[in-house]
Amino acid sequence: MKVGHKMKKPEKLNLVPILDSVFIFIFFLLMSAQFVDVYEIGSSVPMMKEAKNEKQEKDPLNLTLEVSKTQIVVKTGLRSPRSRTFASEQKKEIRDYLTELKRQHPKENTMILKADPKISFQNLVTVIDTTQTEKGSKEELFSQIVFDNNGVK
Amino acid sequence: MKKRFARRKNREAIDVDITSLLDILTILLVFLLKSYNASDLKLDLQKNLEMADSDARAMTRYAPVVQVNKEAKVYLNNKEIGRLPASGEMAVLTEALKKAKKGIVDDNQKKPANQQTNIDLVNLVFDKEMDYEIVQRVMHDSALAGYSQFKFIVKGNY
Repeated sequence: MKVGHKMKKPEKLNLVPILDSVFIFIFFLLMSAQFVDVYEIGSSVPMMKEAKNEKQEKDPLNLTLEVSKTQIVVKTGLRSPRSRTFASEQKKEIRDYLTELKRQHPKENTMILKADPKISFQNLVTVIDTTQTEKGSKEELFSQIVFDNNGVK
Repeated sequence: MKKRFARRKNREAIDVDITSLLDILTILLVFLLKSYNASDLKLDLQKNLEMADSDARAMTRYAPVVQVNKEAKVYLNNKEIGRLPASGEMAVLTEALKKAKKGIVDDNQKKPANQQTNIDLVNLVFDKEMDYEIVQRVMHDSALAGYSQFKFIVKGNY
């Protein structure tokens, strides 16, 4: 007598429901896909704000960046103003200086930006990038930008 | 007749190999997931406009979009407004922005508080070679229309 085990055929997976959901998901993603990654930068600060009458013991930072084609002047202080000049290419030095300023004034996050009317928009964006976050870290430097429409004189 | 039916009974359902299809779908799914953008702002870039590159990673938000291309042509919400004058204000842009703001205010009245659009916000898209002078003028015209928050829309660089 021949004794044989009949091989059981493996049961087939029903992939139809998962394929349905994947198709729906693909259409949803296709509709909401953006192939150019766009982000925003800019000012969220109102142009004017009411000054408080409190007497401040510490000299406010009053950080002002004057951007021209060849150089960037970083001005600080109100009572005892100081300024430091960098060449436009010295991005790392500017970032280091601003990081140091942030360390000294951790509560300050506003920066006044005065730019030469003739500089390109790309240059301006690059300068803003330098002042926003430390390279390689997510720590914000001076995220609130106030545009000074008088420009650099 | 009997023979024909018998033959049909023996025929098995054809197995379609969907492995390759599933591979494609998985790749497409991953690609689309990577390019998914949760922002409610849909941007249609105008002709002759190359966005500036930036390290910024802040998500865009819905607001009127003003685009200025290389030829200084101004578009508001993808509609051409005209060309920026050589100097001075662009009254047409201010008026169009005021109209857009009124539309948003009316729209906000129909929405619950947490879904309302920020009426002070305007998105600005400039060509990367554009002079800052033009940026200043567009910001000035936007401010005249009652917008106090300006967001520059830039392209993420990696």
